[in-house]
Parts: sequence; C-alpha cells; structure tokens
Amino acid sequence: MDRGLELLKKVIQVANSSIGFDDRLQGILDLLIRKEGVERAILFSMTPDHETLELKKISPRNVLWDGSPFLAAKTPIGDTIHNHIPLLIPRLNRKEHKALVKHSLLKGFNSLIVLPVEDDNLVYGGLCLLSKQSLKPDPGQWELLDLVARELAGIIRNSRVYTESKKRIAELSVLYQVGKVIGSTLELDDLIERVVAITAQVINATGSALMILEKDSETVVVERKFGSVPPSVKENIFRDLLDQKGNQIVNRGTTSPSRNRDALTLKDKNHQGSGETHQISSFMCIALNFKGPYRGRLCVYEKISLGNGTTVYFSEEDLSVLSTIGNIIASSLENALTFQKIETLARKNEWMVRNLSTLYQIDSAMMTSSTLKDLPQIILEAITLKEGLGFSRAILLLADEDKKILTPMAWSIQRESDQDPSLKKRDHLTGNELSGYFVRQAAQIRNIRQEADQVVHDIKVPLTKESGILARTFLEGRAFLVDRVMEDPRINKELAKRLNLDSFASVPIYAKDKVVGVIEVDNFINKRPITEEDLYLLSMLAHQAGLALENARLYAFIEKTNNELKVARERLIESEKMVAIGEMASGLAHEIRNPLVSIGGFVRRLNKKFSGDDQVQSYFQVIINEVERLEKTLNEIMDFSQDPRGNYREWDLNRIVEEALGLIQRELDEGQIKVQKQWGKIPKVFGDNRQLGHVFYNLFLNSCQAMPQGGLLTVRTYSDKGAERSWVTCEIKDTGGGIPPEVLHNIFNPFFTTKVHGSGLGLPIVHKIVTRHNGEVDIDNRPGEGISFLIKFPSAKEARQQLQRITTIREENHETDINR
Amino acid sequence: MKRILIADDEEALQRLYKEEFEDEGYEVLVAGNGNEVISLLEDPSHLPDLIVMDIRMPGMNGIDTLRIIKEKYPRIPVILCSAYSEFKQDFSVWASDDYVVKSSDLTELKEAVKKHLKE
Ligand SMILES: Nc1ncnc2c1ncn2[C@@H]1O[C@H](COP(=O)(O)OP(=O)(O)OP(=O)(O)O)[C@@H](O)[C@H]1O
Ligand SMILES: [Mg+2]
Repeated sequence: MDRGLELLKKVIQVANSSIGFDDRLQGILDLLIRKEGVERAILFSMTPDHETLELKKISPRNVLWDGSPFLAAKTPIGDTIHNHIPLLIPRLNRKEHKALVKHSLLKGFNSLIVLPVEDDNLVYGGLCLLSKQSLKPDPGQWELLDLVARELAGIIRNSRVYTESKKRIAELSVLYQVGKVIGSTLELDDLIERVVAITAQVINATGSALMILEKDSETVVVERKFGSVPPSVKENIFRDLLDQKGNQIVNRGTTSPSRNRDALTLKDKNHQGSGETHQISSFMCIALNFKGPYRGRLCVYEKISLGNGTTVYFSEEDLSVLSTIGNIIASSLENALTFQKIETLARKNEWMVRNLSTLYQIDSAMMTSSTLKDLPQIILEAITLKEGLGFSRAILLLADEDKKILTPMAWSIQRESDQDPSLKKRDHLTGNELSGYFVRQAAQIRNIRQEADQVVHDIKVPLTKESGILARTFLEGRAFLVDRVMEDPRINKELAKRLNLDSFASVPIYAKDKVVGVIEVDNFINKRPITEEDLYLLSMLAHQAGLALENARLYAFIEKTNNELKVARERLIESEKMVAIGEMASGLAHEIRNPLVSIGGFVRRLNKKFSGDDQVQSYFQVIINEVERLEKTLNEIMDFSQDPRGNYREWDLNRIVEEALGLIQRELDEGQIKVQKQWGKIPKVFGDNRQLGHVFYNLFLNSCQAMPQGGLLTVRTYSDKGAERSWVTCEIKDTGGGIPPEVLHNIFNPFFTTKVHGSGLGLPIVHKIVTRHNGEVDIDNRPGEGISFLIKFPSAKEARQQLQRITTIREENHETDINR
Repeated sequence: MKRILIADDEEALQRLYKEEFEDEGYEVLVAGNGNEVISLLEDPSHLPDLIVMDIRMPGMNGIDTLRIIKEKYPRIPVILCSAYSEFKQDFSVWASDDYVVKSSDLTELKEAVKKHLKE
C-alpha cells in the first residue's frame, strides 16, 4: 500500500475517533513525525487579532524550548497562512531566515514546510514541519500534506463549535438558575443574598461580593459578601475600582471586565500600621450596568476545580458567565432598589406628614397668641416639650442690630415632672385642644422661675465670625449641628462651658428673608444625640417662628396704626365739633352784636349829651366799657371761628415767636422760668401775624401755668423737608409734668380746663388757628416730665400755592352765583 | 350837603346811625330792607352819595341788593356794615367798596364813610 495512503487513512481514523479534540490534534501531529524525514511538527493557531501565532500542539511532546509559545505573524510562516499557499524553505541557515531560526521552537533545523490550516471559510493557523535534512516533497506528498492540514482544520472547527455550544448551554443553565432565584423575590435584601450566593455557586468560586453605590453621592446602597472574601476587599478593591479609578475601570469593565490571573497583593488600609497583607490568587470582577443613578461591581474570588478541590484560574468562559449573571441581575437589582427607594420615600412622607401636623399645631398655637410678648416662649415650649420636639433646652436669641450682639429673648428647659396632670395625653388631643395645651403650658411655665435663668439671661454673643457658632448661624443664615463641642475649634468655649454643652444645634430665624435671630437647642439633660432629622424639624419650626414673629410684629404695627387712625378720627370729629361751635358762635354773634351796638351806641350818645355831669358820665362810661369788653370777647370768639384771610402776609416765624415771648415776660420772671431759645434758619410763613402770635402766646401761657415752681422752657424753630411737604416748625417744650394720658384727648376740646380760672379755650384756638394756616399741631407728651408742642406751618411759598388753588375755586363759585 | 342812605332792619340801629351821621353833618335817609333801598333809589331826587347797608335783612338781603345797586348805579359807593365779621375778606368779591363790622364805637364806620365820599 502506498505510504502516503497509509498515513492518510491513519490521520482520518484519528480525526474521527472519540477522543478529545486536543488529543486528536496531537495524535495527527505524532503521525507526521518520522514520515518523510520530518523530525518536528508544530501546530500554531492564529490569535483573533491576526497579530501572533500561538503554539497549539507540538510533536514530539517532550520538546525542550525556552517556553515562548508565541510567534509574530510577520514571518514567512505568517505570510504563508495569510496567502493560503504552502511554503517550503529547503535551507534555513540562509541569511534571510536568521530572525526566524532564532525562535527556540525552530532552532537547530535545516528545512521547513509550512501549510495553512484552513477550511473554505476560516483560517485557523498553520502547520510547520521541520527537519535536519533537506525536505523535498513531491507533488503527491504536497497533496497528502494539504489533506492532513484540512483534516486538522476540521478538528479545530469542530472543537470550536463544540465549545461554543457548551458555553451556550452553560449560559442557558446559568440564566435559568439565576432567573429562578431573582424572580422569586422583590425584597432587596433577599435578592442580594441570593445573587451573591448563586454567583459564587455557578462559577464555583469560594467567595463573591456585590457592591452598589449611588452615582452622585457615592453612598453605598448595597454591599454584600458571600463565602470567603478577603476582609480588605471592600475597602480596597471596591473603593479603588469605584472611587479612584472608578471611571476607568467602569469603562474597561463594560467592554472587557477586569480579570487578574496573577496573585493580587493588597495592603489592608485599615491595618496599615501592621502591614498585614492578604493573598488572593485570582479574582474576577465586572461592572454592573444600571440605567438609573447607580454603579456597581460583582466580583468572585478563588475558583475551585470541581475534580480535586484545588485553586484554579478563572477562564474566559467564567467571565462570560459572570457577565451574563451581571446582565440579568442588574435590572432586577435596579427594580428592587427603586422599589425600596419608593418605600423609603413613602415612609419618610408618612414621617413628614406626622411631623408637619405637629408643626401645624405648634404653628396654630403660635398664631393664637398674637402678642409679641408670649410668642417666643410658646415657640420654645414647643421645642422643649416632649409632645413637641423634645429637646432638653432651647434658647431664642434675637439680634440687636445697633449693638451688633445676640441676646436671649426667651428660653425653655424640658421639665420631666411638672406637667399638668389634668391634661390629657397629647395623643388624645384634637388640634384645637393641642394648641390650647401648648399655650397653657407656656403660661404655666412663664410663672415658674427657672434655674436656667441664671445661666442664660445675660448671654451676649457679639455678631462676629470669631465669636462662635451662634454668631455664624446668624451671619451665614444657615443651620449648624455640632457633635463634639469640646473638639470643635469653631465654638465659643466660654459659652459652651457655661451652658454645659457637649452637642448642640442652632438654626437661623428668618423674617422676610432677613435673619432676625437664632434658636439654639441642646440635650444637655437627656444627652440624646441630635440627628439631622431633628435639625430639619427645627429649621422648619424656626421658619414658622420667623413668620409668626413677623406676623406679631405686623400685628403690633397694625394695632399702633389703628390707634393712630382712631386718634386721627377723633381729632377729625373734634375739629368738626369746633366748626359747629364756630357756626353757632357766629350766629350768636349776630344776635348779640346788634343789641350791643345799640346799647353801646346810645350810651355813647348819652355820654356826649351829659357832658359836664361827671357822676352820670362815669356811669355811662361803665356801660361803655362793659359793652366794649363784651364786643371784644365776641370778636375773639369770632376770630376763633373765622379767618380774615385778607390780612395774610409773609412773616418771619422767629420774630412772631420772639414777640409772643415778650408778651409773656412778666409771667416768666414771676415763675422763675428759664428760657432756652434756638432760632433756626427757616423760610417765611404765610398768615395773620396777630393770630399766629396768639398761638404762641397761648402755648407759653399754658407752659408758665404748668410750671408754677419754675422750670425750663425750650423754644426751638427749624425747618425740615419731608417727602411730600416741608414744614417750618416751632417746638415749645416745658418741664411742667405733661398731661395725664387719660385727659390728653380732651385738651383741644373747647371749655376743657383743669384750672380754676381757665376758660378752656386756649388750645382749641391754637388748634383752630394752626389748621386754618394749613399747619399741624403735634404733641410729645411725657407724663410726669413735661410736654412738647410742635407747631408746624407750611413755608410761605407752599402756603401761597395752596391758597391760590382754594381762592380760584372760590371765585369760580362766586362767579356762577353772580351770573345767576 | 352829602346824602347818605342807611339800610338796616333794626329800628334802634337805624335811629342810632341816623342821629350820629346827622351830627356829622350828613343828610340821612333810612331803609329797613333791600326792596325799600331800590324803591328809594328809583326817585332821582333821593339819589344818595353813599350807601351803608347791613347784609342780613328780611326780604331782599344786602348782597342781592348790592348787586342791583352796582348794576344800576355803579357810581354810588356802598359800605357793607354787618354783625358778621367772617365775610370781611370777601367784600371785594361782592363788589362792595368797604366792609365794616358793626360796633358800638362808630369811629371806624364814620372814617370809612368819609373816605369813600371824598373820592
Ligand atoms: N404746657 C402744659 N402743661 C401741662 N398741662 C397743660 C399744658 N397746656 C395745657 N395743659 C392742660 O390742658 C388744659 C387745656 O388748656 P387750654 O389752654 O385749652 O385751657 P386753659 O389753659 O385751661 O384755659 P385758657 O387757656 O382758656 O385760659 C389745661 O387746663 C391744662 O390742664
Ligand atoms: Mg390756656
């Protein structure tokens, strides 16, 4: 039989035998040895990148070489494979082959045959046959070798198909197992437990670990180990992978997960001093791809061979299994995470709703107490009551912007025992009752002198950054939580000692976007740690408190404005009353004046007729004088009710006041009253000098009468330009004890007097004249001390403009009258 | 001799004014209200050189009478003499020549009369 056919027959036998693929390849190579003078046969396989040739099989098997299994593709061997053309190098010792023979696998041979190992579709590698003699195959031999190479290609192809399908099956079974596990639960905890277990189990690793971080906050949301995992794995591998080189690894991890076949030596960061190290012979790690805001790692450690229980390396297959697991669990984990998050949110919401309703009740308690005085105490009670926020102590400090300090306005300490036993438990109270409860508690507490007063009442915190956290809370407008007071360099040591603090929190109180104060809270009695949640609630309460404080302030303001309005209204009524009196007086004047004129006129005539009779004349003179006196009084009443505006001129108010002072000189001297005069540079006023003088005369007279034992009369003139009007003002200030508040509202009433011989017309006339001149009268009454009258007139310029307008209107009216 | 017309509803005052002004050397006519004044004026032989007139009078009051006088006899000066002092600044608006508040001392009125007769 032909030797060639003999060989081919054997090759086909081997190729179709039931032994493993590797053994078949080896067997075929072994068959080639010694045939046709071949002394060494090598099967190279082409790596997927076509860059290198990798030693797959060699015969004889006991070849000694330096170990390098690779060969660059850019060699005559590689070219042959690429070109699909067999190659014969009869003499390897030629110069051009120097580089090739350097490779230890090819060393020491004379000639080389290379055959591409390929089928119709794919190139798998190359078959090299080496001999010390010169190889010279004839065409029949070439054909035979080509057939053998094709046979080898067939075996390799079959092996790949087999591996591929094995992998598929393995993957499917993993899918099945993992899917079964994760489909059975939605509880995150449960799921994680099962994931790490099944991962280790499927890959046959001794340990596995799973870690998931939230992308932005870097907070660990899941961290679970299974089996034996080196203790430093979490700190080192995960942190390193996710934090420092996180992105890098994630990128690599998604395309080609990191794998380490070499022993990995890790220094345990927690035991850096001890220098303890952990040996991991192998580990494998993949990135978990989440759609949401998470990133994660799934790792396995130390694979055990199924046969003898020794440690083996992870294979590509293991990696693809791990990736498969990763892909399946990622979405389940994400769902569970989301589910958990939603649940947490729901719980938090519930918590918020509960606290909000407490806050609301505290808030409505605050709103029911509209006085500024009670409010701070109520806020603090709410903070310290067990039924409220339950702090041991709370201090409310308000800022004194002028003095640049924070001072305590109110404070409260939780009292364990002295709660009103008659009160129902808070849980059983309705919203309204609860508000009342807080208010009552506050009222009760106000009456109890607290020992804390001693400690707290004279605290003064300068508003500078250096004076501690409370000042900073105010200045920076944000909350602070200080855990370990004594170790914190920012705090005010003296204050902390005084308040016996070891931890505290402080929040700013805002009123209308502006920080107005600070609330300090601590648990110096019960030592309960202050949590972020506490701080959160406190901030909310402080916000409410700010609003309430602002409301109370507004309320006080409105109340004040209201009172002022009431006074203004009363004044208005007052002046209307006086107009009525004026009208009455003028009607009266007519009735009285005519008879007076008759009486007076005829008596004067009588007086003339009886000239010579002194006695009769003296009688007449009495009547004449009395009538004159009556007429004068009548004129005064008329002055009070009417205004001879025709006499208006521009006057220097300083002169008028000075002259009025002159009229009162006698009274001033008699009463030993000192006068202080400050004449300001003021514009002229427009009016009737006689009436204006009367104003000041009346006021001076009143001041003198109020200071019978002497005193100081200050007379000051000045002008001030207001936003709408500019006034020329004369202030008359005395030290006569002022007017009792309860009668103050009467002083402009005609006939109101507290004097035995007073007529009670002085101030009403003052008022009448001043308003007639478009001026105003202001009073600064300081009961027990003295009173100031501020007499304000518009400047002449302004007054003329006003008068102009009035006269124009009048004339228009008269014209229509006349033309009627 | 100058002739003055006095208009006042109070008889006592009519008499007082009449006697006082006659003492001063005037011829004095009197009227008790505005209508009387107008009818007096209609007789040219009675036309006065000056009129002293109260404001508040029954029938036609001083202001209305004044308007008629000033229409028909614009040359005769009219002095309003009233117990009301509050109209004092308004007299020119009513086109009267002067305004004197009634007083038992007639000096001011007499001076006003003298002043307006001279013109
Ligand atoms: N400067 C003052 N100090 C203290 N009380 C004053 C002063 N001015 C006025 N009063 C009080 O106001 C009251 C009213 O003052 P007013 O000038 O209107 O009347 P009178 O002084 O009592 O009497 P008349 O001024 O008519 O002689 C006075 O009786 C007095 O009680
Ligand atoms: Mg007085």
